[in-house]
Amino acid sequence: MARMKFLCDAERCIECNGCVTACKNEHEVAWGINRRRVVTINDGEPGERSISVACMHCSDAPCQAVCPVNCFYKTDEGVVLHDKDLCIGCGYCFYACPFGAPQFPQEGAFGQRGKMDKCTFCAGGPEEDASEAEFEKYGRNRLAEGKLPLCAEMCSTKALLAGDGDVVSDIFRNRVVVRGKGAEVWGWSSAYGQPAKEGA
Amino acid sequence: MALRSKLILSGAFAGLVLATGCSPLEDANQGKGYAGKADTPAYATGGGEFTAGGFKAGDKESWADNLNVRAKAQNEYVRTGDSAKAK
Repeated sequence: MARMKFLCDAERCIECNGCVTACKNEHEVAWGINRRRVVTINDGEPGERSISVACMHCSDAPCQAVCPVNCFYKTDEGVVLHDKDLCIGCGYCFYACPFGAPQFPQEGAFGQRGKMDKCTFCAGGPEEDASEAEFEKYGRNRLAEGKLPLCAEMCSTKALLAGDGDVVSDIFRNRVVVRGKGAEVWGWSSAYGQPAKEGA
Repeated sequence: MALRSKLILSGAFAGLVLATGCSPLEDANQGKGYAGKADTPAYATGGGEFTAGGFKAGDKESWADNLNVRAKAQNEYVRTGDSAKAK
């Protein structure tokens, strides 16, 4: 198995926020926390584009690099997860992340940050799979159920794709050939690096 | 003399505070990487009562194949049977 990736096709996203709603509902995410959100560029102007943004599960994850308590780990499928029992809510990961993915509950006094929460690629966390403890802390573990992230699986226009990087990029390449435009993939070079050039 | 020693002491204290404040954060895990609980691989447990696709718990290949089938189903040219566009 190669690695899991998200791909958002800006030519197709209609800013319906279905992915955001699906994520919040599936994982019963707390108020004030948005693991996924839709960002619109040039809103209201000709050529505006919308993109669904969450943790991209980067190849070389900056959040993992800066965490002072080493609470991040990467699964065999390339999904970046973290142990909430270790997180101290320092916010370093938030400052390091190019996508603004880490979220913090702010229920305490004086803006005190709680433990970080982020997209898990619907892969739960380091608790027993499909257990109550895993659901409470990280949400559903759809990957263990043989399913892909719900945000992508229920995207009405299939703008948001999730799954094995090779499969997802093949689907996108197919689309670009058919429509003859829109080959730019937002966020991929930041998350997964530039593709290696032959002979380089 | 007393003033001089006071100056030296306060200078040393300020230096100590600066050195402590500006030193890098101590690595809680001494550079050993992930410090949390071990996680089981996604294919290992079978996923519980909502499992889809009929893969066997612990069989990584059937689990990966199952996920690839779902990933490919995101291509609507395949789903609608438009073979001219699906490649």
